[in-house]
Amino acid sequence: MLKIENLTAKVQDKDILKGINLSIGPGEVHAIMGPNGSGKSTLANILAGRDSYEITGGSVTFEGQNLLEMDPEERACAGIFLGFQYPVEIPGVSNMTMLKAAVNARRKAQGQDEATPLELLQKVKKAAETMQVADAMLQRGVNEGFSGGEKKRNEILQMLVLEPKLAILDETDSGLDIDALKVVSDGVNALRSPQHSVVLVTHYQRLLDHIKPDFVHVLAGGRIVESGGPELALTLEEKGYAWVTDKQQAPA
Amino acid sequence: MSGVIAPSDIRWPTRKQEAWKYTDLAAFSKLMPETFSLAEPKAKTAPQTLWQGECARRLVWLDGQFQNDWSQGAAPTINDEGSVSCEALADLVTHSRRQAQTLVLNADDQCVHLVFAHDDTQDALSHLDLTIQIPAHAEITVIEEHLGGRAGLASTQITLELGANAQVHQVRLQHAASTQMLIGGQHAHIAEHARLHQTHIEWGGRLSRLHSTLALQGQGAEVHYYALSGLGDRQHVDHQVDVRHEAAHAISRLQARGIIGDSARQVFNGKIYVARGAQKTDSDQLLRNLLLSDKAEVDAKPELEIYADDVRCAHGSTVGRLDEAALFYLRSRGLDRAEARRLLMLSFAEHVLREIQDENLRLQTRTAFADHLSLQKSA
Repeated sequence: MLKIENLTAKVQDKDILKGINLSIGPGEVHAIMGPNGSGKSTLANILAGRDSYEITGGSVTFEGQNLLEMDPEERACAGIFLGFQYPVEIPGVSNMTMLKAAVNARRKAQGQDEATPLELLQKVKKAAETMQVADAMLQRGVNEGFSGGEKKRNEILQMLVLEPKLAILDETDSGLDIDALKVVSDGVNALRSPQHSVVLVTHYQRLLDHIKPDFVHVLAGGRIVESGGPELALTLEEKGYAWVTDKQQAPA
Repeated sequence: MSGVIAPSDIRWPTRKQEAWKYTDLAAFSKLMPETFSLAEPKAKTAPQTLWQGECARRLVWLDGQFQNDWSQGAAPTINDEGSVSCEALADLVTHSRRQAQTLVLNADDQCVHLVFAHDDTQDALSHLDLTIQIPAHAEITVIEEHLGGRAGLASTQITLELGANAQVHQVRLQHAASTQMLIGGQHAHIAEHARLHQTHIEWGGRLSRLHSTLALQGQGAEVHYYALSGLGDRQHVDHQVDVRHEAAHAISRLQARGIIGDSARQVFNGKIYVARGAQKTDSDQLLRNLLLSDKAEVDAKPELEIYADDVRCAHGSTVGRLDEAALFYLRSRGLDRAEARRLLMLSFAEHVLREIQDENLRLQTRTAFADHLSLQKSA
């Protein structure tokens, strides 16, 4: 589904990604862990099409298409979703207005008619229930005056409405209390199916107690230095990131 | 008076006059038609207004001339002589086809629709002096529209007299033809505990100048002035606002927002004057502008002149661009660049649009405003 080969990227003159290789199949859940500044968020943002990075080499294909040549909206319409680490506030534009525009943009790209107001409403209501988001919040401006936890719940709500083939969640667990973490995890688990893949970018093991990944990767210094099953997250929790970064620096 | 006049025969205000520093009418006169018509307006069909709702009175002018057939409710009375409130425009007014009228509103009017239409069959030069009297304790909504026209120049000077405790909610929509030029004045005298709430939305015309003098003459008087312009192409909008706190305990709120693209230009000069005796004045001024292109220009200047010592006068001014992070956020949800920009511009505009109380009018205005902005070249 998604294939990243030897991807390198820099910001200004600083190399951030130094050769990423990663394959994600349909229905798989991958966790990407790593210390601060390792390039996790950069990778997530590059996949969604943010243009503040310079891609210096490598390739990314999504269902056979060259992802790096596509605009962010084309990627979204093809089924990629980025859950933002810092969701943006857009006062005066209601959540419903944005969701309607997003759903219809996708349908248009797939040659379908616009969603009827009832269809849209039912879809949003269902997602709002899962995410414990009140109706009043849907009518408010996008993330306008939302708390950190509300913003993250709103990200997952959008994900559930848009049903992406590949959801990339950038530190969706940061700033959440235990209860909110549970709600967010339930939302992500609700999307899980053989057709929907998820990439969880996170610092901490605790999210993975709620969303069991199929694969865990450790990103350090712009490279994936270790890959394994769910047990890798537990090892990391026990030994810390120094364990893998030491391994990385050790002579081959 | 002959049937036509050449712009070159008119003595225009010069840029040496501070209030005309950024709007050089002499330079604009080179963009004007060779001659203006001074003939009677000729348009045969009533203008298509944005507001289609019910109002107790709907009064229509065509280039300053009152149109009985297109109006409903009592007509304004004609005055013998208008007053030229602005010395710099004296020569222009002298050469224009001009009228002076008085409109006395009463408490039963509730909603008044004032339509200042302009002829699209000739390039007219006109001047209208209109005094609107609002009796004490009346609560009135005034919907004012400026629309139509060709390459004419229309001056519309309005004086609002608010009696004690009167409440006026005024929405002024300017969506004139893209080649029409407008010079407007809004001069309010606000008595004690009266409240004037104005929302000015501009997206039409080649040149639109508005000079407001808002005099808070009675204790506890209030003025709320909200302005929003959405400009593209080579549009030029200039707002000069003089708020005069002449009595104690008065409140003024000013917020002006501009979205300026292409080679358009927005001028805003907001001056707050607080007289010696106007203690406990409470005044706010906020100017925010969004530039959409490198060729767009904003000249915004808040100004304070204070002679009382127990006052609160806050002001701020910012100029920015569309937020790239927000743009990416919307695009990552599947919205194309144009739609994402449209929503972000509306987000910026909403701070003023939400001041329009009537929901239908607000929705219609928002749509028309956004459609105009969508015409811009994507920067």
